[in-house]
Amino acid sequence: MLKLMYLAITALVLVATGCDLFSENNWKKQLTHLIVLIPLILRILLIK
Amino acid sequence: MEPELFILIAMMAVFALAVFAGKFPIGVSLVFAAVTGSLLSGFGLSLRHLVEGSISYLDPILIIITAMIFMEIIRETGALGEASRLIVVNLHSRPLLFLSAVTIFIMLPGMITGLSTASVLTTGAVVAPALIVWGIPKARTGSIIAMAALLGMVAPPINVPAMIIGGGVDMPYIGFGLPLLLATLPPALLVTFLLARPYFGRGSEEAIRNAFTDLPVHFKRWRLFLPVLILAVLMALSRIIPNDFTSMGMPLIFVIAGLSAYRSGLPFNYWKVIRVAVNKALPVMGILVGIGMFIQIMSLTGVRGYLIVNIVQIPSYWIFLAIMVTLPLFGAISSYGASYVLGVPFLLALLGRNEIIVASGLTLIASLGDMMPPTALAGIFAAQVVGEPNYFRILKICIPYIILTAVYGILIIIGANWLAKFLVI
Repeated sequence: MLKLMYLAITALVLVATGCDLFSENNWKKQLTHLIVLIPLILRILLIK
Repeated sequence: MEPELFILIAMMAVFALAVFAGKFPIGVSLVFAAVTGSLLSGFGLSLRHLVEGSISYLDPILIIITAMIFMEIIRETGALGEASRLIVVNLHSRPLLFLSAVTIFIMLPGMITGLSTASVLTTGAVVAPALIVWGIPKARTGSIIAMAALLGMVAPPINVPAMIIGGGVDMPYIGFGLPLLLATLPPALLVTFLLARPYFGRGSEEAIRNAFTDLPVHFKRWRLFLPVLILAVLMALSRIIPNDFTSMGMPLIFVIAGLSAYRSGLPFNYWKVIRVAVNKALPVMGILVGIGMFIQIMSLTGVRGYLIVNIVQIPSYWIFLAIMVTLPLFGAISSYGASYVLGVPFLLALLGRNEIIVASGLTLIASLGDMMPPTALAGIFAAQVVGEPNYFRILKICIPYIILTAVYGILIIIGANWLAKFLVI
């Protein structure tokens, strides 16, 4: 149950970060979004 | 030149170039530096280590973002504004109580999120007009907000630099509550009093009352503040009755408290609030991912061991001077970065003293980096909040208090074993 909740929280942050990536116009700042997405995606993929 | 030193210099040079010349965000610059270190040491791109490093600080990242969402929610509901109004209206005629309450109020978001900017931009922005109307000049108000915010960042329950240092020496983030409270609350209150002392009672009663009228819509106060109460109770339960109440983890606690804010005050849109919070927290989340990669490559290439071996060899009392000077200066780039790159070796060099107290003192000193130009996160945002165009006026006012705080941090480290008898349970 707790794992599912953390999966949901991580997914929410992932989606919000993804949306923010597309609304950002500065490509240098978009790089920050991309590096933040890496651990979030990994966390969701690797959750057991 | 030893190869580790060469790699370290190259990594730092690429980092500095990316930040200052390339104007890249700090997190991205740390990734560039990590890739450079990996390439120079003959490991190629070492994608596996970069990815592994990126996930090192996922827990602090989730704590920061959920805490930021919570802070945004209680700002939107009007709870923060109402708390500020209650403090000003009820306490403005009693300077000591007023300034104590204002200081703790400014520190609160930093304590919860572990970010000094969260304090400056939320509660700092809310109380700034009150302090100015109370009679304190703009630059001094900015200084009070900046110093309280950076001490709030170190104060418990969330201290990200302590988590970072702990991660570097396999020390769990447990038992830091009282040491961090001792490290932050006395200097925070003292600095506010000293900065505000010459202006006691300068503001007019009428101006203060006019500046803080009631909320436009009246809500039941208990409902408005219920999310904060739920947050406090959930945080406390796992410590008071650990056998009956397993900790849910800070991110989930923040989410539950945030959900409980539904219809507690002014209406707000959850999705918009989340988007704003993510946007505000993203630079720090990026820094944490970047630090994770940087550290992983430092470990891979032997630079980390090189740093530790050399710092451990610094003669005993010189190390305190080194801590006082290098930690805040490196913190100008990132206080989180300083905590890991220098904080961990310093902690290892000071083995024999209670590690929890030493780490508390180190994070106190590292946090001062948030006042150092060019990044000076706390100082520059505080200048914006009070409408002071020249940030350096705020820095100039703060310099004696920065030195005072650094000395206090050193005293905590020196007296670590004695303090541990009373503060570490």
